[in-house]
Amino acid sequence: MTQKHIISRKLRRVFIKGPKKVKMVFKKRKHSKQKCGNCGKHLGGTIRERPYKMRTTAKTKKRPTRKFGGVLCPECTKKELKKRIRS
Amino acid sequence: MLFDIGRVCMKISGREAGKTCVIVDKKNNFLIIDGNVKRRACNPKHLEPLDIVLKIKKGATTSEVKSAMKKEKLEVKDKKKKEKKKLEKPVKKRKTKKSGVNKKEEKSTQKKTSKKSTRKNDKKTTKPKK
Repeated sequence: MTQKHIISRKLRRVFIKGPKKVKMVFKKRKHSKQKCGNCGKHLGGTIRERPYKMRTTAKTKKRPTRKFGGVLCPECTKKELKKRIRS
Repeated sequence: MLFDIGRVCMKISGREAGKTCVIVDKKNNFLIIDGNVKRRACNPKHLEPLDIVLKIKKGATTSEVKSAMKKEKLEVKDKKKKEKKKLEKPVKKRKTKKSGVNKKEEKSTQKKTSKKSTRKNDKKTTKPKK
């Protein structure tokens, strides 16, 4: 009988081509795309990986080096900085 | 004018967003900026003017701009270079023979002593006590 955690589609199915037959492997899913904290737009320059790969990658490759990088989109940072200067 | 020479601004876009700079020169619809940012030509849409104007010449150098900013009590950040530690090179030592003793004699004496010691230990461990 098939296992319950496989039936529920919790894991992702990956088909690997071999020399004679195709092999099926189960892998864990990645997290969703990162979004802007203000407008909810998808953020560029950020990566989607499993935690074992995020641990080894450098911090500069995970988010942009701009102010509010990885939190707000570039258009919202412009608005936020203008608001702070003019107040 | 708003974007005149000596006007202190803040960069809004790019990797230097949120840093203060000073307008030094103009060049066909672009402004040349300096200060806490790298000296570069910049679009005026990427700047937000502040209400401070410094007294500097047209095309002033970076050191002149930074000294003028210090007089106005604005924050100036200087890059600090790390000092490299000077490591001493390892000195090679020539191998020398010990005086009066040959290598062959040394090896033969070592083998004899090692064999004897192992045999004695084996006997002690293997033989059960009566």
